[in-house]
Amino acid sequence: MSDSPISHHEPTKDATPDSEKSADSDSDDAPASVEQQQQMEQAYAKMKRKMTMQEMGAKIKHKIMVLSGKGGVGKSTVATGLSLSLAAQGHQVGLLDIDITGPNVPKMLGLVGHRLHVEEGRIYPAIGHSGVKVISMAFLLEDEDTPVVWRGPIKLGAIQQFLGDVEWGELDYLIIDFPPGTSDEPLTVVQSLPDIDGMVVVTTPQDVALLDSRKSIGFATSLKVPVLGVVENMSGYTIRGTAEPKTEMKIDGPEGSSVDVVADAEGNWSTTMNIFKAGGGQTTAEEMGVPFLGRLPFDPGVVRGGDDGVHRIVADPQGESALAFAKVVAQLDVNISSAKKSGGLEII
Amino acid sequence: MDEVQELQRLERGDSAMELTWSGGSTNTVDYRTLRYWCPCAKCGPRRDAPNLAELLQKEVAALPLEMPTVKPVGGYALHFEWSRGCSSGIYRFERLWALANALDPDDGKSYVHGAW
Repeated sequence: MSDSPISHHEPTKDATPDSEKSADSDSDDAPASVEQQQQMEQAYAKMKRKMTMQEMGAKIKHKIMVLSGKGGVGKSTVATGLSLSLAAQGHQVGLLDIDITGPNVPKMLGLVGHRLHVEEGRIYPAIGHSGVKVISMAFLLEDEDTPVVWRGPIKLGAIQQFLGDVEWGELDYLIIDFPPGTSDEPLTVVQSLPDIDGMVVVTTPQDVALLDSRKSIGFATSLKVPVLGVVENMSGYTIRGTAEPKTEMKIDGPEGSSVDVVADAEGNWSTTMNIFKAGGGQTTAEEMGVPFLGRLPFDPGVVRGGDDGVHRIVADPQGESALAFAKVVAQLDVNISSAKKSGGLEII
Repeated sequence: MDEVQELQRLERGDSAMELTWSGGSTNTVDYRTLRYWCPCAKCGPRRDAPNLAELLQKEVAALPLEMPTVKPVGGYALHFEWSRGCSSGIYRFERLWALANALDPDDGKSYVHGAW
């Protein structure tokens, strides 16, 4: 079974008819069979891939994994947002969507239907908004509805190809988006990619999501990957309105709660509803002894943007979500600089 | 287990390796011990059954002594590549610390696939 599921070259076929082959075809000089040639090519590709992954450290300054213990907390949205926010600041950014079975990043960046360019065994990423380079399994599927039904070794082979065969070029940041959980995919990346700067763990404020985010933090600690911080997504839904200046109002919220608001001198008012509770991400970060990167608001514009292929950060660069992402990125930069790096192991 | 120190230096010899830790201590782990305590999914369960453990011990003893190729795995483990016998094990630094300090690297527990 091939460990290179993404094939970008045809195996060399032996065109010599059997009748013309040498009688002593079992001798040492006999040409390799097609199967032997394929095995040699795969072994060579594997070795070359390993070397390339080692070289990535020199070309890519920072490698950041984005995980969540639980699905549906907005991890891909956050990974895409972090990439776009970094790119907006002038950095060269790559975004690797390693969710083999549910790749959503191309949809969020308006790259559905894009096909990857492959040349001389190198895979060239697609270019999304703000020049973000993107690699995703979605680019290899015939259509959006095609499921990827692969056993573990095949998935891992694809991941290693995404790591070792892609021509990323020089990057300031490589953001790696994973499927939910702490299984094969993040383990493979941690084992294969040298010098990972750390992990960002995405959660929503409620207990069910936090339970799983703690597992992601434990996973990072167990594998000695620094946790750069927890991001609390869907943290508060802000509603706004106008009224007569200085008017006092009571706004009904979820679960029978209500909030008192007062319109300002211009008649503007706003209030934030904690639909998924609030503060759980920061509390969890403090309890687990890891940094808290910040909160991202529950913004229906993010949902629309994800579906329309224009991320909220691009559609509304001065909006609440874009500003919140910028704050998270600023804190992320600080944490990357201060993340403890090991002294280095000398092997003789 | 005492707090595991950071492994700073690994020097391979013909039959054993010398490990130097951040606290300044140096230990020797011979290759037969290292290979017997391989944490992979095939070797691990064999140590749980006395007859299989004895067989594993004999198999390891019969292997030629050789210097392995050592490569880091992420920032949390080392992989040892041998020309013969099992090379599947990924040795977390905690495991190497236990071996270096003559502690049970399985911590008295039976092998559980995927356990750390």
